[in-house]
Amino acid sequence: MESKLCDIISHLANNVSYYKERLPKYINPHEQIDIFLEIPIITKETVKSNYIDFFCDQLKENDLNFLFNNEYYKVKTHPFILENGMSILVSFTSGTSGTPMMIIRTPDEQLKLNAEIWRLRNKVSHIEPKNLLYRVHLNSADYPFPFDPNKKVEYRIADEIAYLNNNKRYKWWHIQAQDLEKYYQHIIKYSIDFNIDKILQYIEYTSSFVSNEVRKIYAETFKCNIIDLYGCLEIWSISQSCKHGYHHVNERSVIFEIINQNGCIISEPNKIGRVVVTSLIQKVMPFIRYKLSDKAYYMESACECGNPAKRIVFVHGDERIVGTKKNGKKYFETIVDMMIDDYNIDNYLSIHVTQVSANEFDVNTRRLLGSTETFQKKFEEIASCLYPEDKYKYYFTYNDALIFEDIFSVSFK
Amino acid sequence: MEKNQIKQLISECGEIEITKISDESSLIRDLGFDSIMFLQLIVALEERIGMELQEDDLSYEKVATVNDVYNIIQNSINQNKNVY
Repeated sequence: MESKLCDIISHLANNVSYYKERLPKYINPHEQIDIFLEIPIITKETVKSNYIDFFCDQLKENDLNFLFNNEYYKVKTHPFILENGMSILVSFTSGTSGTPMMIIRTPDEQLKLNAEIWRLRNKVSHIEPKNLLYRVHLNSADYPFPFDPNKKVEYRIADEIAYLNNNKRYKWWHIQAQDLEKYYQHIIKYSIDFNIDKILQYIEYTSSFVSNEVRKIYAETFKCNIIDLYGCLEIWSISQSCKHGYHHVNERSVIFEIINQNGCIISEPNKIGRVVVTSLIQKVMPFIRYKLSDKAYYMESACECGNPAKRIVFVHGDERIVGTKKNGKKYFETIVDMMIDDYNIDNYLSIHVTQVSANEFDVNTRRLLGSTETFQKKFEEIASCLYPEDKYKYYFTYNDALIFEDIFSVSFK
Repeated sequence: MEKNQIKQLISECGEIEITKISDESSLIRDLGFDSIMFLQLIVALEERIGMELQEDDLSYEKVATVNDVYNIIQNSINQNKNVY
């Protein structure tokens, strides 16, 4: 890892505008960690506001402007050849946080990133690319099933489940978590006995938080192991969950940090902070100390799976809500979304839901402008309307002084 | 690892008759390899030699021909010997 770090810092210092003035031209390997820790933490917004400065010098402004303004490239990953003859792959983030962000890699970088994912998979079980069913989006252009992709999703799902049930080839299924939930709902609704022959051995989901409880339900329903592959489009795979449900960072390709709200590194266990990741592979568009919206904490002691890397537990990344129960984050997210949309309760800084016991939750809202009585009433009304069978008790507080870490450190389950 | 074994793996990963593969065959131009086939080949090679290929060798340019694949395998094996 250290030689890779030294190599990438040298590259930044000499080839990437944003870092040229911030880093020494020559990196002494003995000082690389100290130098690395001095590099500013960046966010998606930092990159977007200094777009050109974050690409290496081989990429010229004209090329970047052309790609960024060409809608064609925003649909899916596309190859492109620059004026200087260099091949690149262009993709865009979904833009849920505002405008999409353009991500550029070379084909070699993509090959290295893909190889890393395969190595992770092979540590779990022997798997070859031909045994993987790669399903990214329900409406993806890369539709992997032998059916009409234009058919309505609900009808396609029935065909796809039947196809997978007769499948003899696919042992591993890569899918987005939100789509997996749709398959799950369909299987439950129609009481389908899925994966009877147990040919499918692993489902690897990505892109959304799923609670341990839901993961266990999925494992029973789909009759296979459920793996969480954590990553993002910018950096690709970051960590993978082991059979005990804990995440271990892929230290060959990323440096993982957790920071508190003051930007200081958290190394102690059980303290939640924001995830910051550095790619050790990408150089054309480097991501160095790149802060994600997700939050995580380290677990004490080594993992029973035998992996010596620190155990990491992710907590979902929504600023408004903390706490999970049934269906992971969706439970509280839906309640809060409805409150905002249907009842115009939008004057607040944050809403944190913290589980304190099996059926009790603390709901702390900061800087609520308006009636606390109305807020509580609406929250309980929506919760009981959406989930009438759950008899949860909510304790409402309006403590503006409670900071994020304080809430987490008390009673997050 | 012998060249014939490498050709066998290339044949399996690319679903190509082994008789059509020569030492100088270009994986992309002559054998029609795409990115998935390359990945399949890397996974198969690493499994066969029991070690990971050197990261610098994971490059379409460096694994352009059968001879190149043979060379990076030797490189990885030699590097590994030097480590231990």
